Amino acid sequence: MKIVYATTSLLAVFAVAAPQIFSQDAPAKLNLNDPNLVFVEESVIPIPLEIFSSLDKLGARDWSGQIVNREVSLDTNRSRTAMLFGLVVSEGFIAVQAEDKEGVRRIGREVLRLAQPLNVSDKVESHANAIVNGAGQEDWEAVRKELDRTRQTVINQMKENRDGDLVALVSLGGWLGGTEALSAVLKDDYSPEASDLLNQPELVKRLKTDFNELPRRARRGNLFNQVSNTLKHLESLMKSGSDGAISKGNVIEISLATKNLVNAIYGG
Amino acid sequence: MEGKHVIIAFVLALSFWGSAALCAQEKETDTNEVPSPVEVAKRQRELDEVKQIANRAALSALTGDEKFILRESYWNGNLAPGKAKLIQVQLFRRNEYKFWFAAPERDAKLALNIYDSEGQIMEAATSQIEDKTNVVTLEFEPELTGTYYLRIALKTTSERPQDWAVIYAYR
Repeated sequence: MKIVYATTSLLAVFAVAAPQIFSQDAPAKLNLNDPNLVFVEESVIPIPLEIFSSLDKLGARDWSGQIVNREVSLDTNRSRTAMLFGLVVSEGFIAVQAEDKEGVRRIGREVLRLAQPLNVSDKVESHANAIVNGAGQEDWEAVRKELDRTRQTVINQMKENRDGDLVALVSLGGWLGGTEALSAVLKDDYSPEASDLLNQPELVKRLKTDFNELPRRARRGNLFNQVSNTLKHLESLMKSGSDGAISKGNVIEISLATKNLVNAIYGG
Repeated sequence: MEGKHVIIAFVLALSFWGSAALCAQEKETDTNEVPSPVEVAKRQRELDEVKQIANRAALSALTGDEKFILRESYWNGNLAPGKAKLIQVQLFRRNEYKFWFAAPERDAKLALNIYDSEGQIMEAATSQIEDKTNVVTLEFEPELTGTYYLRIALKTTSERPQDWAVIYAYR
């Protein structure tokens, strides 16, 4: 009798809660290959701090070892500059995580320098100043916010400037920098539980598609062939097993592949 | 014989109408006409206003000990009554996520749901902001890291198409 009552109560609770859980008229199952489904084209790439937030719940990590003071050399290739911009912003997030004051200040200055050839310096200047000032005051929350704003401001401005082709490259650089740091940390201190953070094959597929849809002129040269090949490789490496984990071997390969590509982008 | 011609003409007319309708639908997201920078900026401002509605609704969740961290990135666009769109998003296990889906008109009727990479609807707490029907929220804690799909919809009872914005935060 008690069981019947409990079941009835549960059903009653579910009847009340159901509209909250599975809200109004939404199908319980979608066929994601249905050609009639409309997907929003815009990609939002997770920032490194969003991923680190999950990782740090498994225990604090030493992020300072992930800060690599690479020299940024500019050339006339704006596609490369766009990727560098994304990379430098992602480095800024890592420096925030490590609470590296000088590292963040340097990033603030680099962000402004990279903004000039991308024709977005007017919009970026106030953000860059806020990043440098925030680091000076060790206001890490303000710096994080400014870095995220910088990235979004640049993307919006590029769209206004009809430089939409560069947006995908900024996103790609940002994702690549975060993934390089994440995979390096996971490689040094591997656990199956934490490795699931690299389970991102659909995201890589999306980045790859966005990259391959860029006009040829925006991805000409050896560096961009390497980008294309690395994304293809990463897509296969980031497929997890049924438990969501990525094997240690794959983590090591992801770390190596992302590091090589980041070095190639910086190297010009 | 004449009847057969009438049927063929009818079928041709139907297929032409169908193609035209399809083109119109595609034009909404993939137009060949390149808007001027002024038009782009104007449209951006209109959409930013909708984002501000979502941002205001999110304020209370962004303070306190258990606050969410708001991402500056967002999605936006326009949606017709009875229509739905899917947003692909990468989420990470152990994080909690909160999404805000907003439209400008206070009587807009919005629905927000989340699906996994297999297309299965996920359990998530959805709610409206106070008595407003132009902002809905969804809270979700993924059990697996991976790709998810937010389904945004404007109910058929909504009177007209709405600009929309979706923002999100994590903790």
